[in-house]
Amino acid sequence: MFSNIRYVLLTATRDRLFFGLLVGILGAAYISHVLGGTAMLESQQMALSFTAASARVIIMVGLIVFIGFHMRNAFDAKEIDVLLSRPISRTTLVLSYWLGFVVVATLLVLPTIVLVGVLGTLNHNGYLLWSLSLLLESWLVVSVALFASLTIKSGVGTVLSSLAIYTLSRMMGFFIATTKTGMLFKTESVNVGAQWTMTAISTVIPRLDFYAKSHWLIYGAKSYEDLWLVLMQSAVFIPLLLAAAVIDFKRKQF
Amino acid sequence: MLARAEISSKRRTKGLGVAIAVLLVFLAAQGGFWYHSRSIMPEMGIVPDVPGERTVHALSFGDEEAFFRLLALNIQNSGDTFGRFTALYKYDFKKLHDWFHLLDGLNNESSYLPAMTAYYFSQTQNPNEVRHLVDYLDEYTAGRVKEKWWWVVQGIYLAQHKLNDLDRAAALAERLRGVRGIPIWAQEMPAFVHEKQGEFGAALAIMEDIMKHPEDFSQGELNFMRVFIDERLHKLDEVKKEMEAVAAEQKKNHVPFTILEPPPSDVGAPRAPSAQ
Repeated sequence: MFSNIRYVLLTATRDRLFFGLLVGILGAAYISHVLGGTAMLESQQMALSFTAASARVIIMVGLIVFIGFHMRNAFDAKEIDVLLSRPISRTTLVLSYWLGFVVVATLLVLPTIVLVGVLGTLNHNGYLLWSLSLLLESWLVVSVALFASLTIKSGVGTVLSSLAIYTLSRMMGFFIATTKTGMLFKTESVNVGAQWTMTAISTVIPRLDFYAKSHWLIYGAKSYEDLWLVLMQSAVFIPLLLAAAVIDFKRKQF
Repeated sequence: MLARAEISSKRRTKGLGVAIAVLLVFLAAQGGFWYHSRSIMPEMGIVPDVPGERTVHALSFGDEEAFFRLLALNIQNSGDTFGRFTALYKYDFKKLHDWFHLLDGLNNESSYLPAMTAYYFSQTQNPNEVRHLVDYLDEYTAGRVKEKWWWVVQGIYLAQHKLNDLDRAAALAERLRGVRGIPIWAQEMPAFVHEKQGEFGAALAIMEDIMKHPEDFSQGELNFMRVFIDERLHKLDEVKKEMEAVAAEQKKNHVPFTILEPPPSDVGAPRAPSAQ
């Protein structure tokens, strides 16, 4: 298990994932700082908000691309077959991959948290909540990408479907709110149908719009509910995806 | 064998000639296209069209704060992009108002938009357009005067001095009446506007209301009130005894001559060195 985690870390280093993404995050922070400096008021708030949002997108997209192609390569190069020939269960293999990618994600998120802290902490509790939720969001995205990479046979397909789920998860709150108004279409039955459809989809899509809000960095969280929502969503959805991935992987023929 | 190689070489040369001919034809076509399109420039408006509320929420991808900041910065720089500098009278202030209203839906705690309204866009060469800015400050501060009193004051200033609409200024100033916990000069704003309208009685009534709480103001403030009532309202006789009683009480309680009342820290207003 630990050798697999170390192997994932090695490939991440070999693929210059850490270097590439951290340079990207630093660049985004610099551009955010410059953009914030052009604001006539609340420059620090501008810089913080832009840095937080852009770093989040860079990390999540980077993780999805890395996991998608790493796993595809592992299948194509028969690495998975070799690993399965050892005395290791399929469940352990999936968990070891997940843990390896989680370590990679954590190593990317921690410097980002420090960077945002260096830019300035306007609200201490908000900063802590933002940091925790960014970490959990990255773990959840790792789970989504790993699940997709184990179930979809193409690397590009894995990346695109993971990005689609990520986007949908980020917009899920908006979709639910919009369909609930019942004003989208002229025909009431279509509105009701849209509402049902969206409700059905929302039951299996995580609510990532609860995570890493840059609003927290400036004004803090509204209540403890913000924290609970993040913790509960992560506690439910990460094991759910892992279980689904394990079931699918166990049924695979090699 | 040699003949075959010769044929192949001839074919290649012929194929190359065709390829070069095609390249030249399309290069000439590109030249023609350039000649036709060289004067067509992208349309660069000043204030961008205002999107729908739903669109903005959708595009924020769950991080409304970042999108608010991005759009607000975009509005600040509108008209001044691509090396252009646009005079403020050319801006569509109705659109600006709609933008501010829309962005308030993403974040109405930030002072960024009212600051842009009060300090920047209000400098327009067309004072009539300032009414849209006053309308926005009116909406922004509604129901939370105690936290946003600074922007009410800015709205009063714009209505009175830029728009020359004393009725609008008085309506806004009325919000500050009796709001304790904000600087005395801000509480006195309705009295100043009433004085400008020639309604000295109403102005005096406001001053009397403020005087009922001598613990809120310094001796210096009391002196100002005295001068205001005497020299501008000419009604000192009506409150002379009341003022003397307040002055005696303040003297007895050793109330300081001045109490520093700096503007809020987040409104971009210059502050005295001692207040920083």
